[in-house]
This record gives sequence, structure tokens and C-alpha cells, in this order.
Amino acid sequence: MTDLLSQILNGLAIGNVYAMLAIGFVLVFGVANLINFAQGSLFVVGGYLAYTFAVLLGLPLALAASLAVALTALLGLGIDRAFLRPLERGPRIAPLLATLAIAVILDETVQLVWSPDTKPFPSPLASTTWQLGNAYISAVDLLILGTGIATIATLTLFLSRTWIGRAVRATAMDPEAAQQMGVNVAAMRSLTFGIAGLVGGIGGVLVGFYYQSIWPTMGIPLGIKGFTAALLGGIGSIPGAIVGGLLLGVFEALASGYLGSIYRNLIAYVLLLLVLFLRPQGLFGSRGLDALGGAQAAGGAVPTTSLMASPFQTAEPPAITTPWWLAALLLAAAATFPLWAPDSTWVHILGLALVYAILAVSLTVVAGTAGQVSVGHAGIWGVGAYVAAILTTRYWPGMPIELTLLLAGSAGALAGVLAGFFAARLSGHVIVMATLAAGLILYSVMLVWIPVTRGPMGVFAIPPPVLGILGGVELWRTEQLYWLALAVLALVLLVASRVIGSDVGRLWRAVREDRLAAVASGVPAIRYVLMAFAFSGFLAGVSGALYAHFVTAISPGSFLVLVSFQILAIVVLGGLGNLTGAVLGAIVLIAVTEVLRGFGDYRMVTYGVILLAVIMFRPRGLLGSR
Amino acid sequence: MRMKTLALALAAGLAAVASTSVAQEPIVIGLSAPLTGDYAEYGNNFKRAIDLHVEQINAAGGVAGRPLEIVESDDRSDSAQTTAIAQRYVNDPEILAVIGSFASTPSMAAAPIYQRAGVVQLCPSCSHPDYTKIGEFMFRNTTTQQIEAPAIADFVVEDLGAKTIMVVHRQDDWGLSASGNFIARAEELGAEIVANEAFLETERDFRPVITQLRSLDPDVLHVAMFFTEAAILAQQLQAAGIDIPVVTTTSMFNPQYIVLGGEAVEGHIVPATFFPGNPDPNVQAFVEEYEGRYDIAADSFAAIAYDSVGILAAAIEHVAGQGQEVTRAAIQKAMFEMEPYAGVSGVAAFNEVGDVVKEITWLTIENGEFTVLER
Repeated sequence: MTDLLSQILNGLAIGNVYAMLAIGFVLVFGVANLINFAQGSLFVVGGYLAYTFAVLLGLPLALAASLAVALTALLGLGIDRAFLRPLERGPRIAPLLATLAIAVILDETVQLVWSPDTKPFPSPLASTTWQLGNAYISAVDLLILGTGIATIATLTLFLSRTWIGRAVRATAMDPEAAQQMGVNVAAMRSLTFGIAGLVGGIGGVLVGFYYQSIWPTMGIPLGIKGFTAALLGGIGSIPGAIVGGLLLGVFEALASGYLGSIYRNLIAYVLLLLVLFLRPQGLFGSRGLDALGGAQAAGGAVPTTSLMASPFQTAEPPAITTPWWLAALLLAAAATFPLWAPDSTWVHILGLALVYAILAVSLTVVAGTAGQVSVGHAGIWGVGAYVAAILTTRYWPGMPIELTLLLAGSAGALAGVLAGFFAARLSGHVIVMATLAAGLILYSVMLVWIPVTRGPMGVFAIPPPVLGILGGVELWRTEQLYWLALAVLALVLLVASRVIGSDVGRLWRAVREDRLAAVASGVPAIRYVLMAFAFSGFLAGVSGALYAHFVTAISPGSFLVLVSFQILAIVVLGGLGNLTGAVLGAIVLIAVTEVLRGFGDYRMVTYGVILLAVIMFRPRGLLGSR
Repeated sequence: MRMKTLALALAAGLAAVASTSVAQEPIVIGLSAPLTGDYAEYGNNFKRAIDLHVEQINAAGGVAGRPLEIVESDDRSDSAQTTAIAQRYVNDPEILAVIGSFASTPSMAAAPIYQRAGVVQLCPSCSHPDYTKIGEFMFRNTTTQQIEAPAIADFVVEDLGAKTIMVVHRQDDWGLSASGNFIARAEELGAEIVANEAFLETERDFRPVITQLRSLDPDVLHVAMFFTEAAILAQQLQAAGIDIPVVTTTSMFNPQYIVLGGEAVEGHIVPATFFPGNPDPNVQAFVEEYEGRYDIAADSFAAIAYDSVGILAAAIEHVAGQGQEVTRAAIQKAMFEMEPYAGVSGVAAFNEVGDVVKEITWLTIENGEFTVLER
């Protein structure tokens, strides 16, 4: 009993931190209807600025923290003004991807400026603690709680009692009506981002106090917890952020205390998926939010807003299609590449790019054609890779690759349906969260299901694939693997283009463009969305199996959420729903990564800048969306 | 002052002589390490130590009369990158051996490529028990947990007399192997393991496990984690007012552990293979040079990377000393045949699978410094 209460207290302590991080998401989501992936980076920057002022420049801690918070607020404001406002008239997916690119740029810049080392963070209050049962609370916990309550009280008063606050809320409810009433909608949005930056800066300083240290990669894991807390509490509800954070903390502490610490993330993401499924508006959220598609309607007729559609009607540039003769020429060039390549390194790199291309095709079908943007594809990909790796290392080393691909693909399809099951009833940006959670759950399972996946030990020494139709030839040479990947890609492209061009593909687009109309015309929308996830999952599984054979050693670390982001970037670069674009995007991005190797430390930043530039200046991708 | 100028002039003169006499083909070694990303701290440690040693070797006349050269690539600790880099290295006939990478999985992804091409892959830090089993070209310069962990268990049970032990470990290949081998030996010696908790590498909230620890009340806590998160665990233990003997793994032997942990890590018992306070003149020279140049404390990751260069150089000298041509295959043979290499991280000898064997030095943290434990 003492232990149970102690664990609940432990949960409230960490939940406090999550709540603080959740407020920033809630604000931006409520007003700008946008999941701000850069929120995690904002608190990293806030923490590092405070560290710089307090430790490196020796300013008093309170002054250092205030300066850091002010600068982070300005950064939030600047991000909106410089990068997000120009995208307002672009496709709905563009701002989301822009925040992703900005997150990469900020995180990497922090590493360049302050080095990747963990830094000690001054935390004078941390030494004051009180024992309660078998747990303890510290003065930092109280400070965080106090700051959280004060922030919420101030925000609530600001939003309800001031004219600017009313204007912000009006913007959140109906930007067009607000504009007609004379509200400067753009300025209100910028202000929201400024406040989000402010709250992010405060969060960064408090996280520094809590852990007595800061490290540059803390943005993603803590950011995800902030999202989760925000969704639990209900997006758009500020008190919900606190309740969501505390609830998440308590669930995690109980999972840690009674199941084991390695299960805490798994439990957190399962909880998130369940909430999205059962009560997508969260505990305190409003059902009316556009981004939530107004929750579940009868027959699953959620009025989808196609992520590619822009809220303003603009003339769409025609998507570039590949004439058959060019396709044939490219195929011939690709097939003979190992014969004229400068060395086999490039054959290996291009071969890997082809494997990524298959994954990109898989994602472009579900995200582009069916309009369900998935950031869980790394998990589905990993399922395919693990199935191939486990079968060929443990059970049948000479298993024909045709059979491996079929089995890995089927497992991928199953994983896809699992992710789709939760996503199919949602719409807008919340689909992104559901698939993110599904991907993280798959990753966590790979990590903890040791008897099957060997957990973090990974599966290694994966044998070369054996080609059944040629009587069991082992494909271990680089160019043989390359040709295998090329052949599978060609087949995948053929099948995918046939499916997209068929009635099924047309119905996917119908569901994407206007789900309500599709349902009214008798289209079983959920069934078609699930079909898209299954098809996409199958292709992702096939790609995963090839990946396992290419790299010969896999571990959960190969299927991080960062890989999902990378593939999404590839697909956006090529143009959502554009098969040729997906292939081209994969090759360009993998080649760019290789060329940028010379830039060393600046590689990832440059990559983020390239992505941001594409989103800013050619939001429909290089070849246009379809 | 005058002496120093003279010494500098002398060194410059020697270097000039050396460079004219060795105006031959350089010996090229590839380095694959995470210079950016989550493991960049460790990768950059490698790079600094390796650059330093290569410069020292070249200033002293090179290897077998030829200058030593390092080609470096950033792999972000990512399997896709290490395999691409491995392809490039094996295709470059100039590269005779490779150091890298940092973590086991990406190193093991690249290993079959090096093995097939017959290139020695010397991983300074790979701890995965199966890494060297991939082939006879795979070597490591860190003692595996099969060798280290039972020795730590011996110390905890026999020297400290612990009857009940709680183990916390990182949920990765290294942590599982460390805790598994520790527990097996400790139980063999009659101690009881009251709890064995695993943590994901991103975990920074240890309060739930501290609550468990308080109600189980073991004699000793054994921590098998990396120093960044272990320092946070130590602070949370201190905040909880728990005063328990803590025995760590060699990974905690890093000055940053004290910088990050502060008072909270006082009294922790830390095993090490490399100790900069070691009076051995080799070690002192390395520490002085490294800290003088980079202005950061020399840690064990720097030491094992520094020694990795020395080991390869010694193997190449061994080949040349026998009057043979320095080839990839000859270097591999020499790794087994040469005399044990006396480096800054201890005397390194390779057993038949390519695992290194070294002795443990017991340290404790006193007044913010590592000191040799009085026993």
C-alpha cells in the first residue's frame, strides 16, 4: 500500500514535467490547428540558453532563466513569422512538415553550438527534499507545480479576460469570421507561437532543474511525452494539459513499479492509442475541433480534410508524369548501373536507396492517395525486417527470397491494419499522432520481446537471400543484391500503379477528398482506409525484408521514429501520391546524405534546410502531388 | 623557456628528418565513428584520441618507416551508414585496417563486409558478446562483460560481503550481458539478487525504482548503465536520502560522471581498466598530451581508441619486422602473433576469437576525484 501510494507520488512528480511540456502543444494546436513538432526543440533551446547565461556567463540563475525564456519566445514568434505564415495558403500538410524540418535544424544546431555532451545544470532547489512513504518530493517538484499552475492561470485569464485573448480565441474558432470582425488573424497566430515558445523556454529551464542536466537529444523523447499528455487531456484544453500530464506520469510510474521500467513507454503509447480510439477529443477537449474530424460519426463518416488540399482554392500545378519511354530508359540505366558504376560502394548505396524507394512507395500510397499521413512506417518496416531476419537466421537459412518477401509482406500488412484500425476513425493531424503511437508501440515491442526479437541484442549475421526461381542461387555480391532490389521495386511500381489507377485507387482518393460525400455515395470509408493500410503495410514489409538482407544486422535502433520522418521527407520531396516522385525522392535523399558526408557535422542541418526549402518553395514536391 | 624552444626546434628538426626519410606511401587506416547524433560524445572522443596518437606516431617516424594516415567517416551509429562506409573502405586498396564503430549493432552490420574482404575491423568499444564471433577479422579493445562482470561480482560478494544485491542495467546488448554475467556469478557465490531492473537508454526518471529499492533494502546496488543516465540516477538516490554502497561498471569511469553527478556520486566504487592517475609514465604522457591539447579530461573511451591505433601500429611493425609486405591479411595474422601490447588502458592480449583480456583496477570517488580504493 505504501508502495502504491509512493509510486503514485512518483508519477505525479514526473507528470508535472509532462504537463508543463504539454501546454505549448495545446496552445498551438488549439489556435493554429497544427501539431508543432518543433515544440520539443524549443524547450531544448530554452534549456541551453539558460545554461549558457547561468553557467558560461555567470549571470544569476533567475536572470539567466528569464533571458532564456524571453529569447525562446522570440524564436517561437520568428518561426511562425518566417516559415509558417508563408505556408498558410499551401497544402495543409506543409506547416506540419515545416515544423518537422525546423525541429531537425534546431536540434542539430544545438549539438553544433554546445557539443553533443550532457551538461550539468544548476539546480539549487534540488537538494531540498521531503520523504513521503517510500517516495520523496523535492522543492523542484513544487516549483514545477507552482509554475504550471501559474502559467495556466495566467493563460486562462489572458485568453478569457483580455481583448487580445478574445481575439486569439476567435482566431482559434473561426479564422475567417474573426478576420471579418477585424481581428488581425496572422498576428494572433504569431502571438500564439510566441507564447508557445515562452512556455517551451520555461519548460526547458524546469526540465534542466528536474534532471540537473541537459542534453541535446532530449527534445524528441520528452516532446513525444508532451504530445501524449496534451492528447490525453484533450487538445485545445489548457487545464486538460495538466490533468493529461499527471495522468500519464502516474500510469508510467505504476508501469515502472509493477511491470518494469522498460514497459513504461509501451504502456504510455498504448494508453495514447486507446484514448484516441475511445475518446479522440481527450478528457477535456472539445468535440468540435476541426482537426479531430468531430470524433466518430455513424458509419465512420468523418469529414476528412485532405491534408493535401489547401484551405484556400489555388490553381494546382499539374503533376509530372513519366512517359513510358523515359521509364524504360531509366530502368535500363538502373539495370546496367553496376556495370558502369565507379565502384561497388555506389552500387551498395543505390541498392539501399532502392529499398528505401519501395518503402517510400508504400508510404506515398497511404499518405498521398488515401490521405492518411503515417509517421509509424518505420515500425511496420521493422516488422517486415524482423520476420525476414528471424525466419532466415533461426528456422530456414535457405528459404527462397520469394517466400520471405511474401511472409514479411503479410506481416507488414497485419501491422499496417493494426495502425490503420486506430487511424481510420480519425482525421487530420490526429492521424499523424495515432500512427506515431502505433510506430512507437511496434518499436517498443521489438525492444522488450526478447525471446522472439532478442530485444536490444538484435538479429545479426542474416544470410544472403536465396533466389528460388534460379534454383537456389545465393545473392551475396553487392550487384546481385542491387538487382534483386531493382526487380522488386519494378514489380512494386507496376502493381502500385495498377492499384492506384483501379477503382480501388479512385475510391481512396474519393475518401481523401471528401469523406462525407464518399460515405453518402455508399463507399464504406473505413474498409477502404484499412485496405490502403494493408496494401501499404505489405509493401513496407517487403522493403523491410530486403533491408534486413542488405545490412545483415538489425536491432530496434534501426526502426526509430526518425526513420519514419526521413521516409515522410522523401515522399514529400517527390510529391505526395506520386510514385515516380517517391522513387526519385528516395534516390535523391540517400545520394544527398552520401554527398553531404563531406560536410561532416553540418550534414543533418543541411538536410533539414533542404527539406524546409522544398516545403517552402515547392510544397507539392518536386514532381507534384497526385 | 630557452629549453622549451630548443626542444621544439629539435622536435621540428627530427620531424623534418623523419618526413624526408619516409617519403613513401602512407599506411592508411579507416575510422568509422558516430561524429554526430546520439552517440557523438563518444565518437568525438575516439577521433580526438586517434588524431593525437597518429600525430605522435608520425612525429616519431611513422610505422615501419611509413607515415600513418587516418581516413574518417561519420556513421551516426546507424547500420545503413556503417555498411555503406564499410563498402567504401574495403573497395579502397589503400586502406589496410579499420577502427570502428562505437556501438555494437552498427559495427556488427558492417562486420560481414570487412570479414568477406579480409580487412581487420578493430572496434575499440564493441561489447556485444557475438561481435568477434562474426569472423577472424573482428577484434575488440574493450574487455567483454563475460570477463569483466564476474570479476565485479567477485568483488561485491567476497570483498564487500554483500548478501543481497539489487541490479539496475541499461536495456541494450551491453547492459544485458553485464547484468546477466554479474548475476550468474553473484548467485554462484551465494548472494541473493533481490531485484534486476532494466532501463531504456532514454530513461531519466528513476524514482519508481528508487521506491522499490527503499522497500527491498539490499546491501549493495550494482549499476550497469552509461555515465550520463547513471549520474542522474545517483542524484535521485541522493534526493531520496538513500545511502547504499553503489558498485558500478567500468562505463562510469569517466570524469563527466563526477561533473554531472557532483556530490551524489561520492563514495561510488568504480572498476576501471584505464586510470589517468596511474603513475605509469606512458599513461601520464597520454593524459598530459590529451588534456593539454583538447582541454577535456581523458576518459576510458579516449584511452581505448588511443590504444586501438597503437595496437594496429604494433601489428604492422610486427609484419614489417618479419620482413613481410604489409597487407590486410598479414596485419590480421600479426594481431594474434605479436607480443601483448602495453597501452594506456592496460596490457592488451587477444584470445583466440579476438577478444581482449585486461586487468581491473578498483577506484572510488572521494572529494570529487577518482582515487584508488584502499582495500
